[in-house]
Amino acid sequence: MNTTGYGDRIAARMAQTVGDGPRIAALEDSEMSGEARAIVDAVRASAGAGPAAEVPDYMRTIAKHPGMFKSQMDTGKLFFNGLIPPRQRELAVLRIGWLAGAPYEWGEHVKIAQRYGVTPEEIERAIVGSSAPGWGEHDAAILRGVEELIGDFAIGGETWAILAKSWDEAQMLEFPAMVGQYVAIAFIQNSYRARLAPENSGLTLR
Amino acid sequence: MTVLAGAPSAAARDAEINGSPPKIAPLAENELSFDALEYCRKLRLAMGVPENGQIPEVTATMLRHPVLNEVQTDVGIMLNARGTLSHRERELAVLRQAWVTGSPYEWGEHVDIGKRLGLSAEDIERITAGPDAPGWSSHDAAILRGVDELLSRYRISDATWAVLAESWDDKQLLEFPILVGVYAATAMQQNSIGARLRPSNPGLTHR
Repeated sequence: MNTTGYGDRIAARMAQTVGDGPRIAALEDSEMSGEARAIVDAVRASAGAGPAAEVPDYMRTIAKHPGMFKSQMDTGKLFFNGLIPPRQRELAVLRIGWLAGAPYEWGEHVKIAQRYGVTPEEIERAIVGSSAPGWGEHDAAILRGVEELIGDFAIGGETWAILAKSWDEAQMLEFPAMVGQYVAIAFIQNSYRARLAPENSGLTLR
Repeated sequence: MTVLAGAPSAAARDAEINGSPPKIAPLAENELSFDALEYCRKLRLAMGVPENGQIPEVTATMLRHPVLNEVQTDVGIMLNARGTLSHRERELAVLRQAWVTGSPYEWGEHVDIGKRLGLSAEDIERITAGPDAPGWSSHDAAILRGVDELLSRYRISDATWAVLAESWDDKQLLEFPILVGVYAATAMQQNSIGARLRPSNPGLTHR
């Protein structure tokens, strides 16, 4: 069980998870099928972005497995437009990216979280976790829920009770599934050593 | 290494997860749509589970969030019917994942599924012991070790990757961490709601 993250060994973790390059080469842009490109643009449209000039390295890598690529994009679109409000989702994803020592996910979501109203101070506090002073009760329960899911693979009774004060049953079903999905992304990106986008400095980004 | 999510025994973890009624009730039969049964049929077909015309209680619970259930079912169908790992490899990974995450529902169901797909009773017992148990081939041991590494350190180590890459192509190497993550997500969900086990499923004590 790891509930502290990799904060005391960022350089070593970056070497493990990004290192000197991916273990699997991405498809060239020209090798992406029209269907794959249309899927990417649909996901971007669901997040309010226009068509991609260049498809990110990560997507061009998982596009080597078309069935998995489509189901991953569908899942991403689902949670990006889910029932949990975006700011709350992003607090959870930051905590996941930090605890899983996931440079790609952490760096990308530092930027995304700020677009949805997470402040620089809250990003620092997400590193400390649910016990940091200053969180509202519901925000603290979101972070504690992530910690419990990553450490024990179940949300504890007290945390559940707090979340269920504000969230309905569909949101309570969405939360652990969403946490699991972002953990799965950390698994794949850390394992094949996804190349970071140029403006993503990984676990040091704030 | 977390095994059984830190519980002292299978029975203790079963009680921790399933000792109280589920935190979310299933939809009643008259609240379920025709689509729901169709999705169950498709998933059972993909997984090689015998058709019984029923909607499991856990699915009737999930249907309180129909869009989520639809995507999760499609992902399950993709991994099982159009996945690139062999059935045996997939079930080894899923079972080790269910054991380490201490997930009574998944473990019990996949003991039966794994046996139908060629795992022996001895394999099932050895999955609970893990990658260092005597008797695994180096490839099978690397699958179990990869699961353990993902669940505790969120990446596959160089040594394990090297063994897996001797037999697997890029598609399989990409599918493996997603497979483990997708089933862990289901574990997180079923454990959190305390999904009631089906009568045929005794949970983590199942062999």
